[in-house]
Amino acid sequence: RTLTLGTVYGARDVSTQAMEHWSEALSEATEGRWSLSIVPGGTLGGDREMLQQLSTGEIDINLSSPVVMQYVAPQYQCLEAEYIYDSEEQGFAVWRGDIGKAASQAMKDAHGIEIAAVGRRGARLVTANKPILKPEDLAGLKFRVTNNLRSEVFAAYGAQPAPLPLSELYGALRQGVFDAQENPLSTIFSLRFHEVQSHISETNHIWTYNLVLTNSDLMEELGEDRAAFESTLNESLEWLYTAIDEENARIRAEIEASGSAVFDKPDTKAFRDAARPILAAYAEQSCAPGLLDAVDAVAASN
Amino acid sequence: MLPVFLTFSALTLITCGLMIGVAAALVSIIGGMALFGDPFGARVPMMISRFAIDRIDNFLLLAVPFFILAGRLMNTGGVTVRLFDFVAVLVQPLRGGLGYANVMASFVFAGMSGSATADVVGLGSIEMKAMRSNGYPEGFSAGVTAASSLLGPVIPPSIVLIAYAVQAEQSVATLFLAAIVPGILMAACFMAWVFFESRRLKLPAGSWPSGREVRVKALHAILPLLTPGIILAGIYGGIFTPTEAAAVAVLYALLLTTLVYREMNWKTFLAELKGTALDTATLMFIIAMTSAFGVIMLRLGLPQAMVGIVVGISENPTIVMFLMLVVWLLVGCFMAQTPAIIILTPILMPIADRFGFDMIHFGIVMAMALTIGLLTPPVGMVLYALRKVADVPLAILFRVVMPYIAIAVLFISLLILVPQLVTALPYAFGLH
Amino acid sequence: MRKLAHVIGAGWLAISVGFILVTVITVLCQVAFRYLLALPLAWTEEVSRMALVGAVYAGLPAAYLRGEHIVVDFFVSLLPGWLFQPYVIAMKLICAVTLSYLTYGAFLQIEGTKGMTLIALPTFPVSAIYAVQAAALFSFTLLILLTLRDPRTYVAQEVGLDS
Ligand code: NA
Ligand code: NA
Repeated sequence: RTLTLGTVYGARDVSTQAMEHWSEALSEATEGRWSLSIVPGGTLGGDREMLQQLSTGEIDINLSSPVVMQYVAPQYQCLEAEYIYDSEEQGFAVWRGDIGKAASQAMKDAHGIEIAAVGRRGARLVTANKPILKPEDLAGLKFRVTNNLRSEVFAAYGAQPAPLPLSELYGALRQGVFDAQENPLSTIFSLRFHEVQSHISETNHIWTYNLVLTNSDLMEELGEDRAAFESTLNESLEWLYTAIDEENARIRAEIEASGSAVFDKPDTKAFRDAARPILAAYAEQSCAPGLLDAVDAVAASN
Repeated sequence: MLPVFLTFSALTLITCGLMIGVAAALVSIIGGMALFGDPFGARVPMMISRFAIDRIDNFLLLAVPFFILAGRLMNTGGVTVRLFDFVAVLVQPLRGGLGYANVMASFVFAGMSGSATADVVGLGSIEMKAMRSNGYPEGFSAGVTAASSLLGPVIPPSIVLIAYAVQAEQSVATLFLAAIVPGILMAACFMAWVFFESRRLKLPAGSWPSGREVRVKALHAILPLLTPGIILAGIYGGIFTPTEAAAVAVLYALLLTTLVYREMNWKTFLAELKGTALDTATLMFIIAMTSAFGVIMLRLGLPQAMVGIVVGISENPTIVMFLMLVVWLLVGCFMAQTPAIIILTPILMPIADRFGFDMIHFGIVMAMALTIGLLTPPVGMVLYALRKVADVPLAILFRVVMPYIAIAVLFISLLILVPQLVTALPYAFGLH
Repeated sequence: MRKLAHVIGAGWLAISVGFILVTVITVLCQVAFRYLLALPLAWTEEVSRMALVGAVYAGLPAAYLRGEHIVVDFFVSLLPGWLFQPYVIAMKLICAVTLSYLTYGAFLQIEGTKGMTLIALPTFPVSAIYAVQAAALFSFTLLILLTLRDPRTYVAQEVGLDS
C-alpha cells in the first residue's frame, strides 16, 4: 500500500529529503508492500489541518515539529518552549524517554495519533539589523512571533512581538514593518532573510525536533512489517542527524562568504534567566502538573 | 485519467448553470470517494468540511472583503464621480477626450479597489452617461468602459493576485509591486487604441477648461487621488502589511465619504456592509471549494500528468509559457478569474518548477490572461455587469471588446517575451 | 414559506455583517497598536481570521436568497420556457444534496475537533467554527428547499461580483 506523508517543509528541505531516503529504504525492506507518497510544502494544509487529516486517516504520516502539541496534547506544549532544555541532547532524552512516550499516549487516546520517531531539526535563531548579544538588545524592536509563549518571552526581553504570515516576512523586514524575527537557520536561508537582516544571533532559544507522527491504526495494520518500518525510519533519521550538520555548515559558509550578514554568539545564560520565570508561570497555567520539574530531572544523553 | 475527467465534469457542471461553489464541492466529494476507496466512510465529508474552513482561514484573504468594502464606499459616497469629473476636465480639449478620461479614471480607481465589476458598476455607469450626453457612439463608449475595467484586478490592490499569493506562497507585497508596470503599460495600450479610434470615428473634442475649473475639480478630487498613494506608501514605506493596508483603505474611504463629502450616512453605510458581506460570502465560498477541488486533483496526480503532457509537447520554456497562455485564455472563457487561479496554481506549479519560471512573472501573466475572460462569452462578468448598468445588448458588447481583447493578448505575449517588464520593479525595490 | 425564508436570511445577514465589522476593527486595532502605540497585539490576527470564516458562512444563506451566488446563466438563459422551471428545480436539488453532505461533514468535525483550541486564544475551541459552519450550511439547505419553486432565488437578478 502507498502511504501518504504530508509535511509543511519544502521539497528541498533536508528533513523532507530524509523522508525520501526512508521512502526508498522502506519499499526495499518490505519488497514493495509499503511505499511512501510524500506531499511537501504544506500543500495539504498547515499543522492543524494535517493533524486532523492524520486523525481521520486521510493521510497516514505527518512530519512536523512539536508545535503540533498545542492542538493534540496541549498539556505537553511546553516541550517546545523557550529554554526548556539545557542542550539539544537533553531534549532528545526527553522526547525519546518516558515524557515523550506519555505525550504520544495522550495524543493516541485523544486523537488516534502517535509519535513513531523523533529526529533532529535544530535550533531557532534570532535575526535583526544589530547584534543581539543580551536580552536588552531587543528593546523596542518590532519582532515577528507565532505563538503566545514566545510572544510573552520576547516581550519580557523588551521586544514588541506581533504575528505575520511567513510569506510576507521578507518584505516586512526589508521595508521595516518588522525589525527582527526568529527561525531555524534553514528557514532563514531559504527565505533569504539574511539579505535583509545584518545579524544572525545564535540564541538557540528553542531546540526543536522532527516528530514523525502516524495514525495509530496504521501501526496496527503494519503487522509483521512494523519492525522494518521502524528500523528504516530510524536509519533515515540518523542520516538526517549528520546531514543537518553539513547543511548548517554549508549555509553558514555561504552567508559568511556573501557578507550580507554576520553571526553572533550571544550570552544565552542571560536570555535563559530572563525566560525561565515566564516559562514557569506558563507551564503552571497551560501544561501538565510537574512537567517542568520532570524535564529538569532528565539528564542529557545521547 | 480520473482527475482529467473530474476537471472536465466540473467545467461542464458550471457551464450548465450549477452554482460554482457547489459544482466544485460535488466534484471534490466524488474525487475524495475515489481517493480513499470508502465512499460512505466519515473521511470524505470531514475532509471537505475542513477544507471549506481552512482554505479561507487565512490572514491574507482578509484583504478581499476590505477592498470590496472600500470600492463600494467610494462608489456610493461620491468619490468615484469626483474622480471622473477631474480627469475628464484634464483631457477635455482632446479629440475623444472622454475616451482617455475613461481609461485614466479606471486607472486611478483600480488603485483603490481590487476587482473589475466594482469599476463597471460605479465608474462605468458614470462614464457611459457622460459619453452618451456628449454624443459619443454607444459601441465605442461601451468598448472602452469594459476594457478599462480590466485594470481593476491588474493594478494593485488586486483580489486575484492575493488569491495567487495564497496558493503559490508568494508575497502579496511583491506581486502588487510587480503588477504596476504591466498595469501602466496596458492602460497606455488602451489609450493608444482610443487615439486611433477617435480619429477614425471623428469623435468630438471639448473646449479648453478655465484654470479655475481645473482648480475646483482638482480640489474636489485631491483626497481620493491620494488613496492609491497611501496604500502603496504604507506597504512599501514600512508601515503596514497588504492586509492592513486594505483595512486602512476602508477607514480612509469611510472618513472621506462621511466627514469630507458627507454623502454617506448610517443607512447607506449599512447597505454597503450588507453588500460586502454577500459578495464576500459568495466569493470566499467559491475560493474555499475550488481550493478543496485543487488539493484533491493534486492527490489524484493531476499535476504530474500535466507535466508529462507538457514535456511531451515542448521543452522550450517560452513555448511552454505560450501554451499556458492558450490554456489560461480558454479556462478564462468558462471560469471567473479567482476560482480559476485557485484551481490552476497548484496544478501548474510543478510545470513552473520544471521549466524554471519565475513565480512572480508566472503569477502576473496568469492573472492578466485570466482577466481577459471577463470580456469573453459565455462567462464575461464585466459584459454582464455593463449590460445591466448601461443597458447595452450583449451582442454589441461582445463585438466592441474584440479589438481590446486582441490588444491585451498581444500585450501579455510581450510580457512573456520580456519578463523584465514584470520583475524589474520588485528587483529595484529589493523585494524579489 | 417565503416569509420564513426571509426571516432566516435576514438573521444570518445581520450575523455576517457583525463578523465583517469585527474583521475591519481588529485589523485596524492591529495597525494602531503596533505602529502608533508600539504595543503589538497577539490575538488580532487569529480573531480576524475566525471572524472572516464566520462572515463567509453566515453570509451564504442570505446570498442565496438574493440570487447572488455566482451562477453561469448563459446556458440556462437559452432554455425554452417550459423547461426553465423544472431545470432550475433540478439544479436546486443537486445543490441541496451537496450542501447537506457538507453539513454532515461539518457536524462530524464538531465531534472530531473536540479539545482542539486556537493558539493565540487557548480558550476558543476549534469546534465552535465548525458549529457555525454546520448551522449556516443547514440553513442554506433549508432555504433552498423552502424556495424550491422560485427561480428568482437561483438565477442572479442583479449585478454580482466578478471573482
Ligand atoms: Na473606465
Ligand atoms: Na486594483
